[in-house]
Amino acid sequence: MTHLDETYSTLRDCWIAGGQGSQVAPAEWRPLLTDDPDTDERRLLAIASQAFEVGLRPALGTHTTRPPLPPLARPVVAERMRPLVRRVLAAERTADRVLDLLDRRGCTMHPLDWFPGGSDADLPEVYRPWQEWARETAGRPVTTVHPDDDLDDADDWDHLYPSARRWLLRRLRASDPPAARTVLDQHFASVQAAERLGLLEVVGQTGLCDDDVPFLESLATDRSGKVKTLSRQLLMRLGHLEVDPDDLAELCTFVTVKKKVLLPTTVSPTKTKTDVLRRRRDQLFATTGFADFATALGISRDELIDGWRLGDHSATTALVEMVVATGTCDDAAHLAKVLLSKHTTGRNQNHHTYLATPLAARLDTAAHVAVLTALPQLGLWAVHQWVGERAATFGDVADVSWLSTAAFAQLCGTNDPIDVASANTLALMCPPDVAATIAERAREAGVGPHYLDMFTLSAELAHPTEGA
Amino acid sequence: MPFDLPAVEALAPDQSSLTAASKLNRPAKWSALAHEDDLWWGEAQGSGANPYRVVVDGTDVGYKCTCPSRKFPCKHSLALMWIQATSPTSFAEGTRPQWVSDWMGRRRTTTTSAPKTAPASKSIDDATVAEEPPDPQAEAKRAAAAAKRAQATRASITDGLDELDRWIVDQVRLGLAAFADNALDRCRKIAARLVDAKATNLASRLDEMPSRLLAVPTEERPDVAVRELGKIVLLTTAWRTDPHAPQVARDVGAAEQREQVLTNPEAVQVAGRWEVVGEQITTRRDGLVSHTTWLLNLADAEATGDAEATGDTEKAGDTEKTRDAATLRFAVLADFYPASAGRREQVFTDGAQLDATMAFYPSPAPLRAVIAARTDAPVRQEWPTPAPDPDPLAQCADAWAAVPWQLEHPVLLPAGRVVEADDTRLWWKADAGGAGLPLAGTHDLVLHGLELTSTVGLWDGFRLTLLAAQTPFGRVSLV
Repeated sequence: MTHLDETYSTLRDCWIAGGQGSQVAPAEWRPLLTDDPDTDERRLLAIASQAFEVGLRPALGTHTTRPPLPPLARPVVAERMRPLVRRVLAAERTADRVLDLLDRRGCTMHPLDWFPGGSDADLPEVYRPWQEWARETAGRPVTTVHPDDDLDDADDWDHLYPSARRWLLRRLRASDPPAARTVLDQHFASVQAAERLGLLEVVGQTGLCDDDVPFLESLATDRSGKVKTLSRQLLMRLGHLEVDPDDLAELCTFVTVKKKVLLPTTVSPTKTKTDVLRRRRDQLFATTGFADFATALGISRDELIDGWRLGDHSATTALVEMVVATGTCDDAAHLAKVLLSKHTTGRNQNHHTYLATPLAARLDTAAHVAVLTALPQLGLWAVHQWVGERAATFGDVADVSWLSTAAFAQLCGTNDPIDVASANTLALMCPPDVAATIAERAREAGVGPHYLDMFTLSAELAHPTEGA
Repeated sequence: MPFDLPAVEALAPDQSSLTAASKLNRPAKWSALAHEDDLWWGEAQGSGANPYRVVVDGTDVGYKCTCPSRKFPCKHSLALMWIQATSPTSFAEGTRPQWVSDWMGRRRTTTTSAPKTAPASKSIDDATVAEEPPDPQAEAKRAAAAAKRAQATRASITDGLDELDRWIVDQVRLGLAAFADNALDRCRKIAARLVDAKATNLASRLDEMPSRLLAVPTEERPDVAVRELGKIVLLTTAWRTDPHAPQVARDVGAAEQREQVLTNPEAVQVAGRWEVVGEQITTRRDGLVSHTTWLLNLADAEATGDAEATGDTEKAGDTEKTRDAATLRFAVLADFYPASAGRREQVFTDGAQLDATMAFYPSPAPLRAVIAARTDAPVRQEWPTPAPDPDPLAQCADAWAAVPWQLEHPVLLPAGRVVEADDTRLWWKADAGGAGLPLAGTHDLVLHGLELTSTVGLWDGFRLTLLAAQTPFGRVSLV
């Protein structure tokens, strides 16, 4: 401690309790004092206050310096666009869609605008160094496996966090399915139930084929009910699970099939008289397979979908869940088209769109676009409901002919209500030039700028150096 | 629909608005005048430090101004319409800026148009009548009365400061621990006395002291109290020494008007490239909103030094009151307006760069300024590179020696990092070693990982408030 420190501390301690500083002032300060104690006190206060500027400096003791934030493989978004990015982020429910858009345009978020948590799943790969930095600063084990590394070593597996395991499993399922199956055989049983379910979802989403049957059959005795149910559904999807014929026969009693010579076949859910019956029907929908159901009714799968009467939402919901769980991608796309084609503009009549939403999880991008192209009358809100969180993963949809219809018209000045999320969905699906055109036309039509931020961002990210 | 003078006349709420608008209807009073089709906008420099943004829509005579006037349309909107009617070529063709788009997005278009006839009580002709030359006798009387009032004010302030001095000694005698616990009441009472004594700005400073005390941990409050009270003693001492000194008179009584600064030969003007590095908007206890904008002078000190050394007058400045760039590293624009006027829109985007001439309020250490003239900078310029210094606060030494009662001072820090001390408090630490400054507020964990190649902050003697920094990821705003 310096002399000034000591002097200041003595004076301060005197003043804290209430006392005369002049009595404890150091000898070299005394020439400044007078006969007036009030004046002396004020002078000492003035000198003490100046000590902070002149002689006292805060002393940093032992401290921790975090490792520098690693640079990413892609540049952060241009400075001039960061306010726009922040506005778009604020309007979105989560950052996922904005991240995907930036990823598509070859840039990344600024770390102070958005930063990943250590356990965020399904982020674009480019943010992995930041995720690992976040984990390291949080004191958790850091994943050291590079994306190009093979996931075939037990030590690697133990060092991976759940989202990384899912990410690498998905990659292996696409590039080397046998290696992926080996990894599952070795490690699946050793992880927790929630993680097992996540890994099994990856199996269902990526290259599900007959070679997966032995693994799926081995899960019949899994400790988790959800894992067992999902594995049964995947087996049904592959046609490798025998369903109890009595259950199928009982399920068939809940619908009425009318076949006519010149008219299409109709399949009408029978009205259930009690809640017990309804629950039983829903249970049968959940434990049997779609293909088996159609066969038991004596009609094709397409006839079942086309002929399904939509009056009973509870029954339709059960059918949708059955198709999501055990139908093929074509079945899901077909049923989605049927449901979405019933969409009308009034928001209270949009329940068919809600019913169709779970089917989106079974479709790839091309199938999504095919559905949209087949239904050009879909309004902005219905498009948003259907595409939703996956809009940014579409890439820039090359064929935007459907944009000239209802959704576009709605955005550009009709009196239909629109919301920012729906407008953003449309923006995320447009190529940059189309996004720029729509933004311009909508702005001319008087649409508020906050509805058009995502269009502007999408367009400007394609030309990052302009106006910089 | 283009405007014409009868329409402007009809829109004016009263004759005084028209008269006030007539004084602003010269393009020289405006910056960034532009239009896109029938949408016209510009920035008018009002009495505050920040300009007012004005936009009028010719299609339905809609208008918007950021000034706090309660007259609609205000004199700025009327003046913009007036310029459009009489001098439309003053408006450059342009693309509407974001703030104009935002306004257009928010407003509801109406079919209302301007009334075709004006009430007889308002007249453009009356508004533009040249003012009669002042009567020298009346002027002399007014000047004498003003001088008498000023003398009375100074006497009143001096009496108030005497009471303040006694109050300060009382606080010390009663103990700073008790003062810290009861600062709100004690400071409010003496602040009210100072308002009565016409020491308005000093009263506000005392009124805000409790908030500065309570912002630090309990164990540091006596230190803050010593510093605050000691600085007030320094200010009152300076008043008694020379109450006419501009900085002293401003900090005790009231600040000069913008026009007084611009016409004051002692006011230093600095032309150069400035970057907005931070904006602070706080509501004070007296009901005023304090709107502070910090600007960093981007001129390179070494380059300027070379220019001066070589006698290059064109580069080094050619008027007496015009200092060359980099002699003053920072400027602060300060506006105060009633909270009841509502939230005022941000005028400058954080990080914006402008080519501007800053007119500084006269002071031995100029900092507060108004913008004398400005244009948007066409190309961004890099920050100057601060040299590593074992004591990063040395750059404030001259300012604090000249104005020792100043509470905070902006600093441009060299390369450093944010580190976490063992007591979990955050510090800025120079890469070159040695110095460390404790940080105010909380910060995102990400900031710990950023290498700050240079940083702008406000040092208040205890804490560094970060404003902005340059990093490998670009410029970051930290306010």
